[in-house]
Amino acid sequence: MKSVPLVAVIQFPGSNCEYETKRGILNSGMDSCIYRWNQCRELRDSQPDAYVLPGGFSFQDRVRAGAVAAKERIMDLVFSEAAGGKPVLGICNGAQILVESGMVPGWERGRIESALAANHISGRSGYLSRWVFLHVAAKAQQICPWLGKTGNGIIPLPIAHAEGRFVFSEENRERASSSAALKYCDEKGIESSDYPVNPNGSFLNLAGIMNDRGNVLAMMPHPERAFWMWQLPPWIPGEWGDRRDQSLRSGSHADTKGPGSLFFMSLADHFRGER
Amino acid sequence: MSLSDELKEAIRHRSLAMTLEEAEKLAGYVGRMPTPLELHLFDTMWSEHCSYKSSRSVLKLLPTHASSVVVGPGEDAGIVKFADHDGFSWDLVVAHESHNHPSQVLPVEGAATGIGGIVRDVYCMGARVTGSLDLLRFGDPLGNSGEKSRAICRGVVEGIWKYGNALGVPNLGGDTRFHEGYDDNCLVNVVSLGFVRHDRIVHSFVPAEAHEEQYVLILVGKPTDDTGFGGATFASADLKDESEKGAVQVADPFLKRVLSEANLNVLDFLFDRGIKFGFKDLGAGGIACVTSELAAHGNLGIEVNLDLVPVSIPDLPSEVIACAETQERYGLAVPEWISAEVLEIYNEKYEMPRLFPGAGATVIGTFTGEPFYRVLHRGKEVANTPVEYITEGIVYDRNWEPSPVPVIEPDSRPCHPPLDLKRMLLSVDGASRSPVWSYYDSEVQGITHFRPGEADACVIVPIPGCRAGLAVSGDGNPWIGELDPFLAGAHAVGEAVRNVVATGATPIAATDCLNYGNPEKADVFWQFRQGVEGIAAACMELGLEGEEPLPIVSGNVSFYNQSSKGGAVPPSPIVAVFGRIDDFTKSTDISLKEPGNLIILVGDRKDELGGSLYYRTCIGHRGGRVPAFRGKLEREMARFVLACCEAGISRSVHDISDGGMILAAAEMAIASRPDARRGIVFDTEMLDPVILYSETPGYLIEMSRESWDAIENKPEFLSVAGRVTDEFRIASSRWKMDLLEILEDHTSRLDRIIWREEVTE
Amino acid sequence: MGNISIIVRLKSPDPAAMTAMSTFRRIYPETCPDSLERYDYWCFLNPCLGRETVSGIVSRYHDIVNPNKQTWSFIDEFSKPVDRSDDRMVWIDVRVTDRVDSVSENWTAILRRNRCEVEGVLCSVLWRFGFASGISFDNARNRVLDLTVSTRRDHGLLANPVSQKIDLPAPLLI
Repeated sequence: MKSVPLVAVIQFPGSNCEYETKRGILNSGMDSCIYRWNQCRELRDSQPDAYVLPGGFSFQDRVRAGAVAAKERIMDLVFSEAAGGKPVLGICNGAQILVESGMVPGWERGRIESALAANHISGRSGYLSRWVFLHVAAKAQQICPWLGKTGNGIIPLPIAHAEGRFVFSEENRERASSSAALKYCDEKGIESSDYPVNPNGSFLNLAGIMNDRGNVLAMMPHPERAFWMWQLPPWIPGEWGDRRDQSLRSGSHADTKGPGSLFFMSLADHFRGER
Repeated sequence: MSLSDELKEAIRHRSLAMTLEEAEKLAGYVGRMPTPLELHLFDTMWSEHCSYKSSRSVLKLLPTHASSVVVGPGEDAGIVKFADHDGFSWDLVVAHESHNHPSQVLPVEGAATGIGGIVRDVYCMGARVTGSLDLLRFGDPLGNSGEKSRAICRGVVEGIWKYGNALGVPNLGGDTRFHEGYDDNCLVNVVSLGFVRHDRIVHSFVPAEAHEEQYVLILVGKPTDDTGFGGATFASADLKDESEKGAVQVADPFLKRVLSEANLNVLDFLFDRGIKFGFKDLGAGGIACVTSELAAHGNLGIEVNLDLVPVSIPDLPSEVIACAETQERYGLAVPEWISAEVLEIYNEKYEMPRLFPGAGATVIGTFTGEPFYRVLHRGKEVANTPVEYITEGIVYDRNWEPSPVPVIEPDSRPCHPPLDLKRMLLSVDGASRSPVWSYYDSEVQGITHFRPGEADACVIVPIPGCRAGLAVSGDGNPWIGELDPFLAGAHAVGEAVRNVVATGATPIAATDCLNYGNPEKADVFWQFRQGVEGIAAACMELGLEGEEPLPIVSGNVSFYNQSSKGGAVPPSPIVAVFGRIDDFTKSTDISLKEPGNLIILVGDRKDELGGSLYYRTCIGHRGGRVPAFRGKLEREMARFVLACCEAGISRSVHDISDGGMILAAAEMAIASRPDARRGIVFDTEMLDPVILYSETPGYLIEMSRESWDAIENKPEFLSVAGRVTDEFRIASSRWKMDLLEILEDHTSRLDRIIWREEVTE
Repeated sequence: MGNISIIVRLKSPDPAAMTAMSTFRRIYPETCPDSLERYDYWCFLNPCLGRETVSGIVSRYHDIVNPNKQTWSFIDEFSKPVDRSDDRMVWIDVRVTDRVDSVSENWTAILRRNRCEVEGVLCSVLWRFGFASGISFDNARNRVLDLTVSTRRDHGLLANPVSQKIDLPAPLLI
């Protein structure tokens, strides 16, 4: 591993969250570089310690979100690195690419065993932007390098997607809960399958799933959009709302980290532990 | 056939918008019957959309100069100084346009192309685009044409999210209004903004270096087709029926995203090598306009070879290849010796030909010392005209005739605050806009501090590491427009300024889009003049930086917004104001914070309820006496609000507009934390619609009693209106209105009407 | 009364079909079709008045078909693919439908509320594959299924069977 861990951010044609994702990694004390979809050799030669597939609209979600990007050559490398245990995070469109690559839940190597289908909301279709609340599954905190420092609190993050509903086939419904990493809940931590607590009809209120080993995490909410406290809406309730008020009062608002930083700081912590 | 007859025939046969006199002028320039390409090129250049031929003489009234202005109106976008950070000066780039007619017939594509076009204007100044706003005006969703208006609204919002979200430009709100005057002609105005390093501003003309060494023209982007053919002239003609749609363009946010990334790479490459270049987006008039303008504004000629233009449809005539308005294209003027490396970035590094069949970068022309615009196609010369004529333009002095609306006020004004407030909160104009915003991505790029609805203006922190915040708001009230076109212009500026000021930001620039009917009609042209005069008057008063006016740095005029029956839309001047706050953490939102805090009213209420939400929804009358524009008072009030923010004593601030003080109070309560609900109790016991509902400009500020007591020499326009409570209600000692019982209705009202079609009562 | 289906196509080239086709060419050059078209497929469930009802709905709601950008026809009247230079080409249709779909549900609610005399509506995407002559129908059919059903990263593209149903409506024009 490098003295300062290098996290590669993969830019697909149509990605649009690569720059703020890179900033989040840098602000967590790690190194980061953006690699274009056709920079396979540069990516391999730089031997990154972890990979992030950022949000956006790779290939404009044509055919199905993530389906076309999953077949890009650069994913061969990400796939084999994940199999070797390197941490991989897919955010939003990145999560869709991981699902369409079969990297999560990844029960049978290379097989597509889940889907991120169009949001299912009564009376509404298409894109949905809103802030949601999450809690982290206990097992995931232990084994997932992106979640080690997330704690037991309720985490507010924004979602922004049209296709974010995790689906599993009937025979895998039982097994799916073992892959749960992040689940939608209300501001008090209570799960519900009703809109808007579960904003898209996701199975088991899943907001993020991981592979069995825990090194690959696919999440629909955007941590990089809540990296700083000042990115939180003024109305956010609960603990993070109180912390936001506190940072405003103390004059540290510009530099106080927000709930989204936990995911990147977890990885930095993970690498410190390995060293 | 005489030349005149030939021209007449060409105008008819080619559906040109130009007059015979204009065609004859063109024939005089070229000294013969113009070629088809020349006819279409000049038809576009002399269209209302491109030439401002009706409006130019009036637009001179607008203040466009201030010490902060770097580029005023004239290029694709305006530029003002913004902030210095880390050794660099950063400038704000802004543009404002309409895409009204296309959106009426093809809502999804029209709205999408509207964003596509406006962001290109900002990109081509060398900027990164960091925000867009949509100012939408639809017909009455519950009126006679409700079903059509609702479908158009749905389509426009879909077009905005499908394009803007995919492009990765945060949506910074704007506004959505409904008025039966837009039943046959919606308005879709778009504002785009971005930031550029001052030393890396790009201009849209071939640089002076091209006089010394050989420059070539690179066309980059989507392969040319025929879809947009005639678009510019389309925007300038009456909307007769829905058969004129061939003109609407097909937008592609995916290609645009990749193209934008490649462009930034190319521009950085050229700057790093110290190479001078010119760059311009393709809009109305396509290749013909971009090539001729790049050359003409650099005092050079150009020879364009249409055989080199990549096309997606075979055998297109030369005038179609040259003038089609295919989206997602730019023209780049660079020295010939560097062109191969530039092509490689587009075609190899960013693989444009693979991602979109036929897309990519190609050299299609060479700049020449002789000032002629020459176009070759299949071995023939298809255009040859002196470049000076292309950009010369034409001007008309239109007739105008005052047609003021008589002032008629209602006979009685019953006042039942709980009932009136409920009606207003549940009206289509007073209902929450969150169903619209929920489709937009306001947070991509990770720079958003206040999203739509959280504060009076959206606030972004655009330069990572720098504390300077940008606040932006766009406004324009059609109900004022139909009663007083001058005040519509003045208040459009006034309200946008108030919204920006309420967040604590100082306005630094404004843009406008002037939407009117047929300028050849004297009463419409009078409305237009009035609107411009109103904007100018307000901008002269509301410059808050020193003694300078608030400069209008970019804008657009959209005429012929009318129905087939000839009824024009309400006079609709729409203004966007951009403000800067040195430390964004001091910016204020609208949500009530602390029980016991005082609610300070800034600006006395006046009996001027004409066009108010109260009149319309509670007594079914539009009234006549609209709020006066009191420039000096507005200015003093704004200075006071900014001083409170700077001193850190304002806890929440909301401007008073639609629905008056009572609706402003309710909106502040609704914005409070769901686990710490707040309300307001007013001190006044009077059941006076003037106090509660008048839309006289003003603000409500929440501050502690200590802060209030500590203010010395309180200006006369201040008074204590009430205080914050921990009950989720708006009340006085004589009445109360619980907000929880209408919250869900207020929030979902538009969703149910527009998207669920729940309109059968 | 039975169900009545219509198909809707863009007048301009369909971007999703374009991207799908270029992806096929790149990753499955051996089996990729020679032509690929994409259509919206709307199935109106039990319209009371038959085709008139459906025509009425289609002309009323521009969300379903906007004549300024799309054309439509009843499925059985839809005979010729757009680009049919080779008369001996083999054409196979495959229909992809989300198992759970808000668009279908919402339009069902709207049409019922507005008394449009249908029991509901079901939206799908219809992909039309064209293969140059010389391929057997069975062979073509197998290729279509292989290209469509995405079970692995390197297998199939157009449908994820975990969330979508895939069926081949009866061939219409072989």
